[in-house]
Amino acid sequence: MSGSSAAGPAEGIELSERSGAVEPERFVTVWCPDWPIVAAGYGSDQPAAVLRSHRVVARTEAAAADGVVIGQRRRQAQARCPQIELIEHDPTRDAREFEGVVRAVADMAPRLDVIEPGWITLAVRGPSRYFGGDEAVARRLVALVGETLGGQVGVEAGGEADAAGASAVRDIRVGVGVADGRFAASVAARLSARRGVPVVVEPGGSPAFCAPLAIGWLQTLGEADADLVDLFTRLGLRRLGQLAELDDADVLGRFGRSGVHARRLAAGFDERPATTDDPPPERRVTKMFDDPVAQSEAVVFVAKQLADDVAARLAAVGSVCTRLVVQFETEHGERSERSWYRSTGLTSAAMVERVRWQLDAWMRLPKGSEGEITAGVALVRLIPEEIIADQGVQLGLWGGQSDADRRAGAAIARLTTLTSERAVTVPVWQGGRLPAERYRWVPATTVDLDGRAERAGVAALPGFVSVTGTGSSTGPRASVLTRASGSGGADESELANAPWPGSLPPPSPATVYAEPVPIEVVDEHGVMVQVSGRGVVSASPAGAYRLLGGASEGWRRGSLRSVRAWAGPWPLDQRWWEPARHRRLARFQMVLGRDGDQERDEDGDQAVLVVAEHRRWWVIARYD
Amino acid sequence: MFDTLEVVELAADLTPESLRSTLDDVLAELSERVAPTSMARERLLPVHDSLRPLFPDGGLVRGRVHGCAGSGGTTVAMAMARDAVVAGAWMAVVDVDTFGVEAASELGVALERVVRVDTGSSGCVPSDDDVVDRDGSTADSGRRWLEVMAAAVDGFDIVLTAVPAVWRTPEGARRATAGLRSLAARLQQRGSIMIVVGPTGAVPIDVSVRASSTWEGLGHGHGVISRRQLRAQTTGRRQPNPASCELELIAAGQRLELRALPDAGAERATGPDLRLAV
Repeated sequence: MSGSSAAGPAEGIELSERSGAVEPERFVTVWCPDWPIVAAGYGSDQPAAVLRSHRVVARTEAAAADGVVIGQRRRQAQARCPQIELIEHDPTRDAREFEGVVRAVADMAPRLDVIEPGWITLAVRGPSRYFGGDEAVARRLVALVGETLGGQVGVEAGGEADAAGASAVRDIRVGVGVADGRFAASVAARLSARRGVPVVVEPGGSPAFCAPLAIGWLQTLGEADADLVDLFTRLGLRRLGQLAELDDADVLGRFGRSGVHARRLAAGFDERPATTDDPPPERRVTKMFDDPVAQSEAVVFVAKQLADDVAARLAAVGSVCTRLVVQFETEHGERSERSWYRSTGLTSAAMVERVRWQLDAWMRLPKGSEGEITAGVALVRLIPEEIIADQGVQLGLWGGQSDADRRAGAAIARLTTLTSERAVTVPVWQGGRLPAERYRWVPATTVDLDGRAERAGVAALPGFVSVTGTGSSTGPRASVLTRASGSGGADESELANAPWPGSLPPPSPATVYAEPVPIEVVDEHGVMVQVSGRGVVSASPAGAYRLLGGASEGWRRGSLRSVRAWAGPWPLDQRWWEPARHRRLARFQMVLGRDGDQERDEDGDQAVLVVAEHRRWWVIARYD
Repeated sequence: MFDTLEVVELAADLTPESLRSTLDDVLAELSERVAPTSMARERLLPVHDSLRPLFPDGGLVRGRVHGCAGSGGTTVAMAMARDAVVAGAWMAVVDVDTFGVEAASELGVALERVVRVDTGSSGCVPSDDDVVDRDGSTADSGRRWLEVMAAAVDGFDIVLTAVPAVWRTPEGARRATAGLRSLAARLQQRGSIMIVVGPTGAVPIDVSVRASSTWEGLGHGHGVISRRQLRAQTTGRRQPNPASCELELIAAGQRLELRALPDAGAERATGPDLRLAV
């Protein structure tokens, strides 16, 4: 790069001031493009796309060939490709499916950083010495990941992928890039995914490698926000090399801290070298349980306290953690250890979210696999491996939090102190066949609301996503969406191709009773209707009494309402293998008339979801 | 349309000269500065096209209390919030423990900006048909609700709530007036929107929406609910002309599509006499 000589001395000083590492460390990055769709189990030949907030965040090659583009709206995607399968995004699923890859790579080189599902970075020096060169490591990684995914995904989708053969169907692309510095390595990995061969940048070659690249890469990798990149573009800085040629002081004066950060990356330097040293012991926080804990929620709660502790301690000295190691140990001595990286720093909520992902992935390991969890968790440890000075950069990510997001975040904190942690909750999809089961309310303090807000911000900015390219090209901006969504938290995630056979189709009831309301359904003679074990109704329902009173004092009949229309029974026999949670019931939809209730006659009829269970009738939800 | 607080702020901004001028001049100046209709537009949250006939301002006016009742009231409340939440507004669901998340998701509400808060006070069912009347709440729980609502109004653009049982009795209503008035003032000041589902009790409602529904797809022992026709009507002290609209909700995949129906009923509802009044 021509500008390197001019800018060189300044960099040297800056770098040595910072860390003493004049020579940036070499990294290898593994990148699985469109990971959410791979995690959902779709092969490249099936047209499918993963949506978040009604926007496509990942799609298969078949869908891309039909013109489905990342950032597109649901309707547009359906218009381009009518037979497309649309799946809601589920970050937990991404993390869970990625666990196999992480484990495979960890076998080869244990110190790796998971940046998000589908994206791993590790220091290459050690493995490279062992395996005989960067090229060899890269090729090995491609083979390793391909093998893992081919096997894993092929097995997973065995039902639908049928006889075509797993290897033929699963044409999974993997990008592996080696370069000086995390940023250059990540760019190299993404280029490698497009080209289909590993990209290895020679030592010292990162500046020259970065120089001709478009400035948008900064945004793609989440290192600069959309506004800054847009500003660079408007000022005529279209390539990273052009930015790198500018004087550090000028950049600081005009663009501030984030500008300097961007320039440093553009020049092929990595501000934060990875460390393979053990962190000072006082930074670790550990919680041992006297009684091993079997519920993941309880572990997450403890992790929340630990994360708050870590974040507060770091904040007290003006720092933020960029790389966090999370360790679990069970009573039987099984261990799970992962290192999580986020270039802009992990807030306490982001730490907790990563704990949740890791725990979830571990608990859902297939039976009999190595390191499988067989007992309650006895130890949780958080180790902030890498810390940097907190420059407040995390606020500006993905175009920034909106004012509404910040206000809501503050209000949630206030509401939590007013009530309790368990009283302030956000919905997380969990699946089920009854309305009350399908979503779970998780304490808001254990979810990375910043992350949710950021991603929401992406979806809410129309100008931001409309600039994505067409066809199969994945423009830098388009990839931001992939990444933005991939870094996700527990969210609304409802699978469009319902994984819950037997659940009722939409519309779903808008009012779901926390406690079912007892009723008595009668036929035209006033005799209670019975549902047999084989799902046969003794008589056609004609009316429903509301039941008042209680089990102790006995039930008495309240007012009677006529049944105008009904359908069912749809029997449900779930968890028959677990005696404690076994439920056997029959569901009905009924429209109840308003007769005899003159005052409210104008409201018309009421549609309700009724279940018959243990010879009793309940209204469990209302189509309100 | 005058917002008391804004007037006060404007008065503070006035130069000494204008302060010296007569009261009429001040008022004239104030009315000029406050009058532009763009003020009202700025204070709007977007609302779905199919519901637009209900809101003559073209959206939900910030600072107002909306009441949603009738069969389909909760669905209308969710549909009202939908566009604003998609556009980036946050919604708090306070004490509506019956909130059907899946229904909200099917309507297109962006769930990542929905937060539920339980004051632990009422657990009341937002049901005007009083399926259950669990009236275990006390004045203390009412105060908790006010406290939580005040905090929620501070941080969320939309607050969906059900009025605790204690504020629904005449006795409670008398005691609540002061607290409710300060909540309403805070709502105005912060520019949030409150949507009350179910019985409203002592809470003063600016725009009340009454819904009624008919369902299709269900027979006698066969079928499944697949389409729903919803009729909504607004009245209230901030809505001098009652408006109504009819929409249909059709299941499309895992979503519900909201479509406006050509509304013959609206003509009848507003009626010629009201037109004359305009």
